[in-house]
Amino acid sequence: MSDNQPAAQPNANDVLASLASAADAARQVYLVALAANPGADLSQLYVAEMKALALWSDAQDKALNNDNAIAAAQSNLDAATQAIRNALSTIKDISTWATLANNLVQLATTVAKFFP
Amino acid sequence: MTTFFGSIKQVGGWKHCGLRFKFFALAFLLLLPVLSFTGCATNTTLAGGANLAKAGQSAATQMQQNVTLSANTILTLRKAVAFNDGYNGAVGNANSQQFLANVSGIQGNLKKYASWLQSLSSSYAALGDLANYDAAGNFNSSIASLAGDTTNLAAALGRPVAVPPDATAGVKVIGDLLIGSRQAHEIKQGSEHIESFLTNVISMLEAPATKQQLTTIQKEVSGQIDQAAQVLFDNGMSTYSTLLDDIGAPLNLKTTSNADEVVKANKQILAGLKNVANESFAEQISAQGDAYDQSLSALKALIPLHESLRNGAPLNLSSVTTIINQLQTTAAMFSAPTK
Repeated sequence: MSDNQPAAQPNANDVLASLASAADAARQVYLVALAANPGADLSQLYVAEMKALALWSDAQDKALNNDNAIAAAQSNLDAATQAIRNALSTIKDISTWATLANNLVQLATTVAKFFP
Repeated sequence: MTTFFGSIKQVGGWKHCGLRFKFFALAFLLLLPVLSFTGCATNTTLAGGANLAKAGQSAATQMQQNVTLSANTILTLRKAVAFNDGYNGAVGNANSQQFLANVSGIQGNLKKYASWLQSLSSSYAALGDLANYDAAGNFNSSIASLAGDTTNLAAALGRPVAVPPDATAGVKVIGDLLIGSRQAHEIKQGSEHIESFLTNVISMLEAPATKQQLTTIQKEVSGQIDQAAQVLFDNGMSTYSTLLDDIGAPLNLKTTSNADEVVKANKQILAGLKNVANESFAEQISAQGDAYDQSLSALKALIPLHESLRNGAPLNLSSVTTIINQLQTTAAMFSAPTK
């Protein structure tokens, strides 16, 4: 077996699942920040959350096609989603959350390109 | 003499008639077990067909209620997103608008599943009509709709469907049978047609990807609706009395007029209520997946009923009845107000 063998291509449903999971993680970020900081300005987190939700719902609504570049992007998105889930109980600072959420949305945007 | 011979002839005629009568009587006696067996089998099929029709119609109708986002849910979603946008200083947020537009598009695919269930329900109703009167024409138009909706659903899910051509041919009326036997024949044919669509769609719905396609939207919609409620909760904007009354119900406890003030001043009680609210959100979201699994189980539970009908065996409706009851319970959870 060659070391240069390409990673198995995710199918459309794998990618949709990753995008849905990222959207869920973005909502959890908002809700955890809200619980820790009631009344604080969470608009940055909210914008990131809705962006992730729009990316997922757009992908879900579109026709499905294959794209060779998608496997790596999906893997990065899943890693970022997991990192956010792992950090949910530890981070209280809104700006840290905003950085993480924006990173997540950036990756989700790349993965969503799978759906032209 | 003429009279006499005539009488003789008459007597001979009677003799002849008597022989014929004896012959038919004997034939009737010999055929009686066969006729009664056939009649019995016909009755079993007619009764089975009527029972299968009722069970199938009831299951499909109940499933249909759990599939699509109701107009009320869509309205609640729009209000929740509007509130969330406004609360976060993001009125007119393009992503929120995009999300709402996409929900409408995705709802279109859910409606294809709902249409298929509607056609399934109509086909079972028409099968029930076959058991009551000669209604082959009605059944044939119902099965044609079911065929069309099966193809539409398969296309929406991006899955191949292979419906046997004779499944769309409808039931064929056979003119020279007794009415009961003819109805029994039509019911068996009709049942086989429905079963072939059922088998095809079950295999489509069993694919994990299909479940994801059909249920994720409900989870995301619930998430947005619940988020608005959670903002109200976390900002102490609503009364906690409903949650408190629910928790105190086993002891018949009712909240006092100053309960909200007490809760706001007590972080432990507030944390407890918050956890109950989160649990309630999680239950509603998982109910969406449960409803899908129960619907699939209900469809699968109909298959043995079709087999029993085909084999002339009595139908055991207990399994499908239990699942329909579960579907009703789950449907009630969807309509439960968000706490």
